[in-house]
Amino acid sequence: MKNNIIAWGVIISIMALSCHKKSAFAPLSCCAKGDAIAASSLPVPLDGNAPVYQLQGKWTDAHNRLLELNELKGKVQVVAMIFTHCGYACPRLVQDMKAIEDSLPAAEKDNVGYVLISFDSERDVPAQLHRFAAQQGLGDHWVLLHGNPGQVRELSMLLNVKYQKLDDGNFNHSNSIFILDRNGGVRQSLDGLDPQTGLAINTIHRLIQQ
Amino acid sequence: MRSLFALLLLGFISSPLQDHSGMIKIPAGELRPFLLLAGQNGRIKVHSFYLDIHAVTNDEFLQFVKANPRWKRSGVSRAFADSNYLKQWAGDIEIGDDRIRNSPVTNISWFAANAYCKWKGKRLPTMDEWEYAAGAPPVNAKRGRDLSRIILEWYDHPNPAVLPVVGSTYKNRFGVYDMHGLIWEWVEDFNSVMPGSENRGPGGNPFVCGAGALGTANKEDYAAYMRYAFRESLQAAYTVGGLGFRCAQDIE
Amino acid sequence: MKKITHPERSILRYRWMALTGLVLVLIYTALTGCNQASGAKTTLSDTAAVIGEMNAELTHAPFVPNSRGAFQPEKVIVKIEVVEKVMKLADGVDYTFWTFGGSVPGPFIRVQEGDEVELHLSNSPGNKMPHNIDLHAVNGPGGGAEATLTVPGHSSVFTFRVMNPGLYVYHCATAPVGMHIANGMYGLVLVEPKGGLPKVDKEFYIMQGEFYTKGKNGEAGLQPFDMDKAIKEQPEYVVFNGSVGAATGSNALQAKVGDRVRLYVGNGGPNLVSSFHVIGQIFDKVYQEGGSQVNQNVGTTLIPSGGAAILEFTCHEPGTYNIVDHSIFRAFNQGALAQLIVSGPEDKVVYSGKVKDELYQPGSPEVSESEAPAEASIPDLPLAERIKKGQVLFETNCSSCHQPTGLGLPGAIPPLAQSDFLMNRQDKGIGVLLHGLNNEAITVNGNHYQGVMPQLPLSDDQIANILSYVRNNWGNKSPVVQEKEVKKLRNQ
Repeated sequence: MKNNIIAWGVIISIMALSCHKKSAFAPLSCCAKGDAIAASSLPVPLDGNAPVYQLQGKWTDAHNRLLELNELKGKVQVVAMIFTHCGYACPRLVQDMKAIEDSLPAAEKDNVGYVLISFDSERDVPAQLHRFAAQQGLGDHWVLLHGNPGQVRELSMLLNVKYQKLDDGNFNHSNSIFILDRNGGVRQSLDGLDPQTGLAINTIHRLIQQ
Repeated sequence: MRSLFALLLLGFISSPLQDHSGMIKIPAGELRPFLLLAGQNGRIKVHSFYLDIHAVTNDEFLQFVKANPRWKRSGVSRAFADSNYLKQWAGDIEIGDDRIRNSPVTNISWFAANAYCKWKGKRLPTMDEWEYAAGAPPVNAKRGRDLSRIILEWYDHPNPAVLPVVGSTYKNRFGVYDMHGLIWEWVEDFNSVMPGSENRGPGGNPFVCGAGALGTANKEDYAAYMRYAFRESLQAAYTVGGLGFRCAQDIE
Repeated sequence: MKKITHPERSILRYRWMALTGLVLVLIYTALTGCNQASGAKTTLSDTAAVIGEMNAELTHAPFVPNSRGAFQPEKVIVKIEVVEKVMKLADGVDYTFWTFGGSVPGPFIRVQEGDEVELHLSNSPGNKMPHNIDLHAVNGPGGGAEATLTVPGHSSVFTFRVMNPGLYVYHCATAPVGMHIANGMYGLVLVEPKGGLPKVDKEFYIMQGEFYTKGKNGEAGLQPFDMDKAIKEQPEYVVFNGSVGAATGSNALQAKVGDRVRLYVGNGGPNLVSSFHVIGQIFDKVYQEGGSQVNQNVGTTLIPSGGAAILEFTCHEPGTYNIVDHSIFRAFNQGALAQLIVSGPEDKVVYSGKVKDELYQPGSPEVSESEAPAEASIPDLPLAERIKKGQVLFETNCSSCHQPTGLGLPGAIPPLAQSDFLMNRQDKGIGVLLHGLNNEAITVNGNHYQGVMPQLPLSDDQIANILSYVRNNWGNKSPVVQEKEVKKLRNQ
């Protein structure tokens, strides 16, 4: 019980911290504004000059097809790293991404893709990814990717996602949703577990126009 | 003809897989983690693996760049290395200063280090492997065998203008050189979960850390704080003057 | 940098995060703050418009940037480079300092309530360590530490709104925090209230900090940091502005008679609390702990580690004023001494100077603390030399009771001249000087005396000198007393 309380304390504090990140100068309402500020101190360059699609190597999707990240080019992509056995944070990330999808105007829907990349090279084989997609009701715009541990680590480095495999096979990881422009440049990093759908929609809208 | 060449090339690439020259086998063992997860018994098992005896040198890295032009200073993508990449070199494939040929290569991003190890048929050591190998006591240190002293003394002096050559500090019980006292080193999973860059708990010093490797004392933990803080302040495309790497390899 | 959460309900229980109730309160505060986030609530930061942009004037101690006076809040850009470098800690003693801006303390940052500060922290490419900055003037977890963790060869930027006027410490908060602070990574940031602080004639920046070197105080050469001493809180040096003598002699602070002086004093620590005092001045205004509460007419004020105070006084009299940590051994033995030199005409009404010097004899001798330390070696010295030195020592330590005549005071102070007690046995005299007398009855030339002779802080050499003198004066005659004879008895 005590451990649970501590664990919750930690989780909450982490949420609070990631929240703080967005607006270092507005202490009373720490998420109210300041994304422009956050951008200046965000570790991932958001100028789009470091396209994720430069990473070479084949990934496998939920339909057992091989593909390179480069093939995601052409659409604006909403990207997150997760694992399917994850009970708390990842479903929320997926939920947030679905909310973005649902909020997009019909005219823009086909211009946007959604990509989930699994940390769990061992258990998240294509069949498991397929099951997960069905469970979550993820439609045609969604791509779920399985890669080897080295590939996953490389991608995490590029996105600055932190993760660590635990003894029980699960993962500690940071929670971010990334919005990539048509060339794979990271243009927005939505950190933490508070839905920021409005912000995401604005960015996506802007990137589609480009 | 072309396919024959390809075959030869393939042979060339795959041969290092069997080649452990310049490496030494680190026996399996246990590591007391610096950051202890509750519920863990305080021991991390480390499997046996091969580790480079010394850090990769400027000369060795030059061979890699020559063979892989996309890793030239002028050609590398900013996604994979920041603008200080290999800045100690005179040119794209020219070291220039002879004194640093056998010094560890620094100003290297994680991506570059990772690519080098892959090219060698190796990989970067994991943080646990590195910490385990680095925890072994010195066997030939000039200034005694106290690991913590070696580390803290290194911290105490500003970086020298010319980095000493590899093998110039001390050899440890596993037979590897310079694990401390020469450079910082990249590890494969440096971006694993960390204490948060806050680096201190609210309200004082809540770090109740597991002692360092091999039953080390309090001071060593202080030295360890530094390594963890350093890793935490890094990103994979960063290059830093005092940061290099060495490679590891699985036991077949 | 993104934060980590674990997906499962009860993981991530790092032992280092075994949090206290205080922390939970913090978390709660932050969390409720977050929950209000998406609502369109007006926040403090929204209400004050920031007009214009400027680069902050930064100064090294003891200097303070000029006030901007009454003005609108602005965006203030502060650029600080972290430099690790070897500098002088004391004469002949070097130390590898980790510095904000190349000096200890770091640059003085002066902003005003309502300003938006854009802080650029650069870590010099030649450095070895990662660094960051935690400004106590920041509202928000970490005080900026989180946003500014920076490896050598990189820069970080973060922005904060200064909302609370006061004088605050900033410091590096990279693990291990103590070591970064112990190596000199601290400075002050002043947040002036709207409209600025009242104008004064002179402002100075003083920051205390202690250093833990392997070698003892004074041991020459490049001294490494000593973690054991830091943990035990036993520094070798306690200094103002980064080194012994940084603000004394030709480096002393300068003011004129009539000047209104304001000191911005910080304490970087890492451990000690300062008993800050200016000898011969009264702080008629003390902004306690750098806050808004003003105390008046204070002699010594307490400045916690990681804390600060604003002190004001008016210079009425010319002279040299010693600035000390009145935990006084730190001032005399470890370096915690600065000086303020006030020039101008004297005012005899305020301070007369010494107008009279007369004997005061309440029954115990005056003790001089200005005696030169004993020689290190134990060579024998000739009688004449010991007598000569002994005479000086006698006059400063002994003669007020025993009298220059050596006759003492009848019934109270025993005589030394032709004293059987003194002359019969050399070791008795040594014993009395070593240990004093505490109401022990003695008989001298047939007269009984019972009183106190204080144990004086005299070295073996000095005792040998005094005894050689008194046993060879006023008609006394005996062989020289050598230091090693005193030492022998002291060790018994």
